Amino acid sequence: MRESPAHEPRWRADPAADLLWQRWEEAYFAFDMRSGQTHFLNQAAVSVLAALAAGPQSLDAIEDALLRQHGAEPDSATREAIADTLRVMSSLGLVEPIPSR
Amino acid sequence: MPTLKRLSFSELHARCADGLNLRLGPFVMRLVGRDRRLAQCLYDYYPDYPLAPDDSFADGEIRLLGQSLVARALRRPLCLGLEDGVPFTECAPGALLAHLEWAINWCVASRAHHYLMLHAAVIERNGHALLLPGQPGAGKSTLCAWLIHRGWRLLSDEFTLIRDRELTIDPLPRLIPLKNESIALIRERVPAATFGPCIPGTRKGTVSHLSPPLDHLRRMDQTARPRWVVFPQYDADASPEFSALHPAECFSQLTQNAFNYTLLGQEAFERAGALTDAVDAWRLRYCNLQQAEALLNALTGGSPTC
Repeated sequence: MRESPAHEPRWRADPAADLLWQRWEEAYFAFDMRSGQTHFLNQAAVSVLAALAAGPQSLDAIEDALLRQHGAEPDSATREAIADTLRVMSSLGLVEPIPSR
Repeated sequence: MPTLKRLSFSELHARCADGLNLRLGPFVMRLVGRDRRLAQCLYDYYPDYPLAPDDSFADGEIRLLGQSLVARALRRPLCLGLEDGVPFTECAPGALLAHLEWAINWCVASRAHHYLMLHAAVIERNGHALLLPGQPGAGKSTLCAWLIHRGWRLLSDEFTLIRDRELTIDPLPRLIPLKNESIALIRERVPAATFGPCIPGTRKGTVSHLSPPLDHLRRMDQTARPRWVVFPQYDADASPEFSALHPAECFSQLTQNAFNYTLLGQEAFERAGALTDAVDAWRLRYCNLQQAEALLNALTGGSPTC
């Protein structure tokens, strides 16, 4: 596992999030009990949330977890996609960055 | 339960002055007005609807506000108000039926939040309901008007009322407002159908209201369960086509289509999810009613009804 730079933020699933789920194959819908909003999430987003279930993770650690899960090699596109997913989920209130160590 | 036509016109007029409770599916609407034009509208277009007892709780109250002799002489518009006395809509006398129907729609859509309310026509056969959600112009009312004369029972042209997590659908058989070319189309194809007046110049063009078949009104307490959801799209230039809809897209469309999804929150999320699991979902593109009927019969296992 790579060491995260000290300045890189870690991410966590919003601890106050209270989600209900519906799933059809790889399409997921999460109903946020706090906001009343319904979010459509793809498999990648759900995998990111799953990676954060055990606690805060850096982007590197999330990437490692997803690559292991799918038996894939690192590449810049995957990393960028995960970063985008984190940004989108942060805007939805599903994940949040926590202060750097 | 007695129907409105058991009243003579003078009895009906007198009842309207005090407030007449009309039953529309699970709802009671209280209609109030001394003006004979309200009684005439009810007498002409709602004869087979049941009367509810005078002491019934009313889900909505619609009043035809009084007009002075001067206002009448000047042919001022009629004004419908709700129970709070605030004017709701104004209309020419010849458009009273359309505005009364819209006022009823408003009462239902803004108050009946014990239901998950979908903006969808819904028809039934053998206890199985077929939902036809559609944006304005998709052709759902025309298709619905045709199918209820071809072996399907009208539950509603406008509101699919999902009562509970068991997905019980309560009927709300109302007059069907057909618009523009659809009026002549259904008149020609269903000569026995009963229509209200043609009302030109509405927001949706010319509107004429099709009365539901009598048997459908008599069965307004018979619920149904959803079996199919079909999103129709009329396209005069298209070849007919059915395509299966992925459940996720069906769920997404249904939640966007609901009148009160946001308001009901978790309950709506769960009912819409259960509904998605319970139905086969399709898109239907069609260019004429017979094609649409044939495709729907193939989908639902029915046979053509003459």
